[in-house]
Formats: sequence, structure tokens, C-alpha cells
Amino acid sequence: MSFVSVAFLCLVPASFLLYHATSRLAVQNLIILAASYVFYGWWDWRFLPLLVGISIVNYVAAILIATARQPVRKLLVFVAVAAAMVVLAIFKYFNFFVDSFGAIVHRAGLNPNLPTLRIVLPLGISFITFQGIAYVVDVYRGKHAAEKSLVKFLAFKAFFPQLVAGPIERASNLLDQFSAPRRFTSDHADRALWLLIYGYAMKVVVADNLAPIVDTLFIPEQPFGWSVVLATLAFGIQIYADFNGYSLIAKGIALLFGFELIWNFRYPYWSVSISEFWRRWHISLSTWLRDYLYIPLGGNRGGELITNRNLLLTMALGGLWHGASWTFVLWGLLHGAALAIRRKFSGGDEPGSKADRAAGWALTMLVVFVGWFLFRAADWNLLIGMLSALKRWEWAPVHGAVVLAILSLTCPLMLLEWQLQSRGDYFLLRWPAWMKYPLFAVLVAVTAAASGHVNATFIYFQF
Amino acid sequence: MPLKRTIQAIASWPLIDAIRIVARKFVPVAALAALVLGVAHYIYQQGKHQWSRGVETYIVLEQIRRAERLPAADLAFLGDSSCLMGIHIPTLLQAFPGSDVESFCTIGFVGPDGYGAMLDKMIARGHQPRKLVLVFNPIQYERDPRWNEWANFIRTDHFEAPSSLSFPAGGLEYIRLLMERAVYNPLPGGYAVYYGGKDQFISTIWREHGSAIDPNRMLDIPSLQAYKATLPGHVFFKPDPKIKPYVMNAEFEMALLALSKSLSKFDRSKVYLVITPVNSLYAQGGPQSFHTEAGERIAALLGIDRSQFLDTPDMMLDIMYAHYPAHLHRWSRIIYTEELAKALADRGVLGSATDD
Repeated sequence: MSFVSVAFLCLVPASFLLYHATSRLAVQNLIILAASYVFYGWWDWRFLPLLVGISIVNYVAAILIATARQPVRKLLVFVAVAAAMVVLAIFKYFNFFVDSFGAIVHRAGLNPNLPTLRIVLPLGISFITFQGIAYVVDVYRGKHAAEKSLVKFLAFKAFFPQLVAGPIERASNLLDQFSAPRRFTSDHADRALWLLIYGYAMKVVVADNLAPIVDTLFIPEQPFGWSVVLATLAFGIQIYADFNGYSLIAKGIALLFGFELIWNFRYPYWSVSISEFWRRWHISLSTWLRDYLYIPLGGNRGGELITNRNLLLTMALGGLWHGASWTFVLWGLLHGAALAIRRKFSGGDEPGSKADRAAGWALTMLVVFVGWFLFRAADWNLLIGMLSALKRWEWAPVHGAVVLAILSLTCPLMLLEWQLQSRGDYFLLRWPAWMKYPLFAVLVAVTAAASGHVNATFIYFQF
Repeated sequence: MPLKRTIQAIASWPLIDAIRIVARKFVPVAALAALVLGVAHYIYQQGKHQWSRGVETYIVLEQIRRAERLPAADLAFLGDSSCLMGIHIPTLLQAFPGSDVESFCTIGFVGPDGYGAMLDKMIARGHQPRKLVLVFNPIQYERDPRWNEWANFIRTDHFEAPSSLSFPAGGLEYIRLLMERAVYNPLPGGYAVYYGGKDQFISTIWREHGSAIDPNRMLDIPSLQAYKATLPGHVFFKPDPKIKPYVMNAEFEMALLALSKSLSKFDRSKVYLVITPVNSLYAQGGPQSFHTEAGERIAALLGIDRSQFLDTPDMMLDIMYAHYPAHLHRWSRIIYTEELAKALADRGVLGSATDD
């Protein structure tokens, strides 16, 4: 079930009414669990057992880890992480590895008949498995107690606002909220209202309007270099609006049930260095990669060479997490290399002077948007076709149209983000009613108008 | 007392509290949003908006608008999409400096009857051109009576019934159309790659004096010179035997007679005829039948002298065509228009054509 579907717009009020009809925590948790399974099963009910199975394996593994002693604990955490990786490998990467192996042996002159599976990728499988890994590792490290209540744990794993595209919530934030009484106050409603309006506007008005433009320009037969540049810019804005829009909606929906989700984005396109970008972009993934991959690999403790290796490996695997394609690996390697270069030349300090910050911003955006080009050109045919267009720099009528579309959508967004950063995330809520409500109403009307026009799914649902 | 207790119990029920909180925050926004949509709906209804969806409709609507707004030209073209995409007016303007040339060519669906309707409108407004070139492609010869709606569209200015969307759909549509002014909705296929959206397509038609580019081929060739360099070695393909020969049907002839009526209000000695070339692959029956003989037959039906049938190429190489078999692409249309300019100069239709 998508956040931009009628079914979802029915599920939320129905579960809201049921949830607030009782103040008993256990019943509320059950309602959340039921709503979450309806949400997930609506897409394809056959994958519900997989979600339940992964959750139960994490639940049991954590309890066993908590009660066992070394070296059994270590073995258990290894088995639990390996089980999650196997699920991911089968559903997401099996055909990718088989195809890649086939390509290698084909080059060697062999033509083996390798098996491929016709597998449907379960929605949000990468988020679900990463959250599970974080939980069992946290229990192993003693950072969180193993949850005893199965209902609480299942509800935590399946909590529908964050189930299919994150944020990858840690147990220390989300699971603990299932144990404490949750209040729904006027402040929750206020913030939920703003986040829902803002999130849906980002998704429907900005991302979904750019989606068909990007789709028509990212084609292997692309004749114009300018189209490559402008399509990449448009895609960078689309993916941000799409994913941040989703995260804001998730946060807003969670607030309606008294839950607080983390901020997954903190104005990433205002970053003046690549490391700052990763502190602002998809925060729950970047912190996950840091805590469960980069630091266990040795982090920055083994000298420059080892640190750079760790950065490249972490980001390459982070790229592969997004999708089973070598262009995602390239995207990750680009970011890893940029992080390593920045580390070498800046020593980790952020730019200070205005000129340095401006140059830092320009360089960061160059890396980020070149990365988006690799990210969007998800197969070699498309990548090579688009790159070959860079030989031809003709300004066609479409280019003026794309520039106008990008400016029309980003200028208001930039202005809003500038204000949000300087005045606070909810500054609009402090405005008098006669100012804020008409503004909200216009945003709702514009979003409603745009919603009938395009029908794009959330980009990150595929991950 | 029990009633009071019941009311108190209900009021303290967490659900009531939650609903009250949500209603206090969400209902004013919903009500104001409905008001915004109501205002937008009202404006939308006042605008008597007509649906215009699809490249064909954009072309016809825009050429009608141009015919209404532009002053009388020295030479005007009326014809189908082989003219729209195949005759490059800026090339003619370059060949005949000081001349005012405009194309009002549309699409084959409009047909001779529709071109007549366009001419009638120009005459009624006193904007009729001093000279007129009628352009047909052989693919038009087999006309379908259902296409007559397009000619009626030009006569009545109503292609489809004005939209009658109810609230809130009208309001939503109005806001969406406003948004489309800034954020374009991509046209289909290659049109999105070259033009982007409707506004850019339309402004190209205006900028090119009524010509347009079929963007389905040769966008990756940056110049006419570069294109000409690719031509050597290409030969005419033999006609595909599966293609039917071009034969005029009764419907087409009837449409020509309707056009002839409109021409009666015009000086026929200043009307010229062009049959645009076909891709050699589609040239079943030979150029004699679909070009020379057909041209003479059309001239006769329109009541114009056969000498006013301009001598232009009858067939062209496959590499000169865009996706559609009658549309030249952006470079070959210039090559063809240069040939046409020579013919116009030879007949003295326009003066001072350069020989090159």
C-alpha cells in the first residue's frame, strides 16, 4: 500500500479511530501490528509470512544472544546476521550475482547455462533486514535489551509508517516507545498536520511532477548533452523530494499515534562538504553503515590506507544496498572516494570562510549530482547512451522547459528550507491562524490538483 | 445525573479527545482548501476551457490562432503535416529576402475541406494571403470520412464539447493547468525529447513561421553540413510490395471540391499546388501515378491551371524521413525547401531566390 493511495488514506483514519478508542497499551500495540500487516499485505499478502518470519528470527536470536555466553553469543549473532544476509541475497542479489558471473565466464569464452530465478522483490526488504541486523547487533553489544514481548517486537518491526522505506529506526528509539504510554496532544496534531502537508507536497507536487520529465530524458538514445545535465539535476531534486517527502509523511503519520520517528533528512543540498552531506542525507542509513559496517571494519583506526579501504568498501556496499546493479556500486565508490579525498585534504574540518563554503558547496554538489547520474542510469546501455550524448551540446526547446520546471519547483523549496533552518522545523506553526491556514489550504489544493495528474510510486520502495 | 455522568464519561473517552484535537487542527485547513478549489472551479467555468490533448490538437488550434492573428502574408502555405514538418519557412525567408511567408499547414486529418475552412476564416477577417500554396502528400489520398470532424472543428472552433467538469474536478483541473505553465507535462515519444511540453512545441511553430520539426530522427546530427556528409552511398530503396499504391478515393475528391468552393473567393491564378515527396520505400505504383497524374487531377478538381502545379521532387531517400513516412526530418526538410524555393523562383511566385 502506497502513501499516495486511496487505500492508505482509508487505513490511517480507521486505525487512528481504533487506536485512540482505547488507552490500553497492549491493545494499541495490537492495533498498530494489525494495521501494519494490512498495510504490507495490501501490496502482496504472500510476502507477509516473510516479514513475520524475519521478525521472529530477529526476536528469537536477540533473546538467545541476551541469555547465552561467549563464544555462543558471537556464533548466534553471526548466524542471525548471516540469515538476514541470505534473505537479502536470495531476494535481491541472486540474479545479479549469477548474471555478473555469467558475463565474466562469457568473456572467458565459455557459455554456461546458468540458472536465474524469477523472484519478485519484496517491498522494503533492505530496510527490514537492516533494521533486524541493527537490533540483534545492539543486543549483542549490550546497547539494548532483548525484547520479551512478541507483540511489541512484531509491531516495532512492522510499524507501517516506516516499514517499506525507513527511516531504519533503531530499537533504542522506536522499540522503547512501544513500552511507554503514548500521548496524543495538540502539539502532536499540529506537527503531524504540517509534516503531512509538507511531505505530500514534496512527493506529489515536486517529485511526481519531475518524474515523467526525468523518465523521458533518461533514455539510451538521448541526443543532447544538455538533456543529460538537466535530467540529472531534475533527478537529484526528484529523488530528494520523493524520499524526504516519504520520510516526512512517515513522521507525520507516526505522530498521529503518538510515536516520534527520527529526522531522516536535514537539508542535504545545503551541505558544504561530502561528509556533511552524509550527515544530512538518509541519516538512518548513513549512521547504520557507520555503526554496523565502517566501525566493525576498523573505521579510521588503522591508518590512512585502511581507513580509505573501509570508506570505499562501506560506500560500495551502501551503493549495492540500493539495488542489484554495478552502477549503484559505482555510485557508492564515487562517494567513498570523495569522502576519502576530503578526509585527506581537509583533515575533517568543515570549510570556514564564505568563499571556502561556496567552493565546498559547489564541489559537494558536483559529486552528489554526478552520483545521481550513475544512480539513475541503472544499466550499462542507458549509462553509455547518456554519456555519448555529452558530445553534442545543442540547446533544444526542451531545455528551456526543464530549466523552468526545475526553477519553479526548487525556488519555493529552497526558500522554505532556508527559513526552516534558520527559524526552526515548525516555525510555520507559530504563525497566526489567519496566515498559516490559508497557506496550508493552498498547499493542500495544489497537492490535490497534482495528485490526479501523475502516478509515480516512491523511488525508495524498490530498495 | 446518570445522563451527566454518561456525557462526562463520553467526553473523557480518549477517542473523543483525539478526534477533537484532530478536528481543531485539520478541519479549518480542509474547509479553506475546499474554498480555494471552489474559487478555482468558478474561474475554470468562466474560462469555457476546451480540452486540447495531444499533439494533433495543439497543431490545429495553434495554426487557427496564427491565421486569426497574423496580418496578410505575401505567400501562405495550407496543407498537411508533410508541409508542417517538411517545408521550412525560415529557409524560404532566407531565399526571398523581404518577402513575408507563413505556413498554416496542419495535419492530414484536417484535409482539403479543412484547409478551405482556414482560408475562409482568413478571407472573412481580410487577412487572406496574396498568394497561396496548397500542399498535399499522397498518403492523404485515401481519406476516411471520420476525419471530417477536424474540418468541422475549424469551421465551428469546437473540436470537442467544452469541458463540463463538476466540483472539485474543475477546480483541480484549473490549478493543474496553471501549474503546467511552469512545469511541463511531457509530450509523447520523441516530441518530449526535443520539445518537452506543449508550450515549447507551440512556441516553435510560432518562431518558425508555422513550421515544426518531426523529432523522431536525426536529432543527434548537429548540423545540415554534418547531415549532408552522411548522404553519399545512400540509394533509393525499392517500393515495399506490401504497401498499397496511393489512389484517391471519393471522400478525398469531395473534400477537394469543398476546398474549391473556398478558392472561388480567392484569385485562383495565385494558387499553387505542391505534392510533397514520398519515401521511396512507400512509392508503390511509381511517381507518375501519385505525383504527376495525381497533381494534375487535384489541379483540375480545384479549378487551377496545371501550370500552377510546382515541380518539386517526387521521391526522397529513406534516410531523409523521420518516423512517419511522409515527414521529412529537420535537416532533409531544409534540403527539400531549397528545391521548393527554386521552383517558386522559376515560376516567379516569389522573387530573388538564391540559386544555391
